[in-house]
Amino acid sequence: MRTILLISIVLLLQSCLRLDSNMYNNQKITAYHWDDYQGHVDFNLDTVPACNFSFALMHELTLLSKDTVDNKEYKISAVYIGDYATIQQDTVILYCHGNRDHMDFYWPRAKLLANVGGKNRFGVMMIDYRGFGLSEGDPSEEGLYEDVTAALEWLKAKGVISNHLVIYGFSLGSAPATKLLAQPRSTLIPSKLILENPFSSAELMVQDAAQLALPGSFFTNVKVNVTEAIKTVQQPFMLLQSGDDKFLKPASHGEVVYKNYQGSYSEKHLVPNADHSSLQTTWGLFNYIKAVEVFLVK
Amino acid sequence: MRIFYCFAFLVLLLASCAPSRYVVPLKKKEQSLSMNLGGPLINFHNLVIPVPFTSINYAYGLKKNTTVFGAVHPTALAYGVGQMELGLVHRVHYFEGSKIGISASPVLNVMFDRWDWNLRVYPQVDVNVYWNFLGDLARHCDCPGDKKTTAYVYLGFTNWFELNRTRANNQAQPNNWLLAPQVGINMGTASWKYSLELKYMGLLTNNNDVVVSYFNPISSTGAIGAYFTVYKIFAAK
Repeated sequence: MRTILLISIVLLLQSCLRLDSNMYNNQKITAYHWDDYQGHVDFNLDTVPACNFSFALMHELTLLSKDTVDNKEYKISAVYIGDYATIQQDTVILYCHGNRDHMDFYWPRAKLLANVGGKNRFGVMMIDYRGFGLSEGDPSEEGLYEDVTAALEWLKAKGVISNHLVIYGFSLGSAPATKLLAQPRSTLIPSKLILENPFSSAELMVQDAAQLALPGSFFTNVKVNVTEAIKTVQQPFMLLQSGDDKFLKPASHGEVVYKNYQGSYSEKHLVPNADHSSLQTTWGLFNYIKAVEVFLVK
Repeated sequence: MRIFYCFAFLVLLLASCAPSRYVVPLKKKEQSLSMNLGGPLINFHNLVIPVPFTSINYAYGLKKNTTVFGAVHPTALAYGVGQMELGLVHRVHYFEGSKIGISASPVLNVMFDRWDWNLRVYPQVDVNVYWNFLGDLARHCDCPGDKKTTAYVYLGFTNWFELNRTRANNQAQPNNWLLAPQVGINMGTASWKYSLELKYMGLLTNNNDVVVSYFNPISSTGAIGAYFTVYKIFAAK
């Protein structure tokens, strides 16, 4: 028994495996297909011709995102939907997507946002975090913040100003969206925050899964805590919450984030019967874009 | 076929990936070293296999009806989490005529990690009913080399108790009692025994959004674990 314990102690101190990489459901690809993507999507806009737009207004981009830990630069894939000629005057939505696949999967969502308030009234920018799609590197918590910061820097270079910028985080995207308002890394700071089905914290996800109050450190080094970060966000905040989210239960995730917000203005839209990925389709696409528009112009 | 484990599902597996250690107590002063392999069932390249988690156990027959044991989890250790169990199994009653016994096994699970040095302690109680359908466990020869085979099947429940009333972000802990039913078979000689157990874990955890390649023909909640254990028995000197 003593031998077993000794071996155990050595193994414990030598251990270096973590579950962090399993937290990300990223997929590497060789090319983006956008409207021609044949993989699974939560919904598509084929039946909504009004949501289609001129591809002259769609720009595929490659950004450089610097890793502050190893000083490497990663090429990050991005897309901007809008007119470069008017970007300095336009209001831009920076869309931080969720934890699945790559931008092709989230393309219908970005297109929908490009139709808020009318076709191409607002610019929309979306990136693939490192390790997703064509973006180099592997996903990491710090990488999320650095990659979204790279997008902010690109927008700043294009002349976008803080008052014309809104950041939108869906699910995993709620982490960089909230963190970069609470602790800005760029002088370009979005003036509004929209979160769709946010998660509360990495530790709470651990505890949801285990059903026990296990420390998050047992499984992951990821320290994302949207519930804490939102406390220092002062910008107007809109929560879009699916009422029947089976993946991130509203009572322990979105509702908690909403309660912790202490800023100047907040509004919540609870969509009954909607699951984690079906808020738009359950609510109705036009109800969704109308609500977003009202918040943006408020 | 792309296998994708979701983070959340792995947490569930690591947090509850062990079978009942000992259902029937050893004889007085007997010792046992056992190794367990197994975990929740997944689809892997069109095969259904258990995730190969491991644990190593030592047991000592303290009294006629009571055995104490300890266990370590090498898989958790590899992830920087020291997970140990200290417990005992006590034969509550044995019906000689029908060869049916009832045993209870209180266990203390101690876990800590080497990353932030967080510590958690979880009491656990296993209750099993077993039926000695082959041979006679009560009258089995203690002498090494005895080739007579004994076997029993068992049915029971594992109960985990969460002592914390709150969890992350100051939220109330929703469950303080977790229940996992199990069924198993154990057979072997006086020197070597083998057991196979099926356990239903995470009865209330939805498995639809947490893993793609997941095998549970019964329902969309929880996971079915399969565990194989080999016991080496050392007779009392």
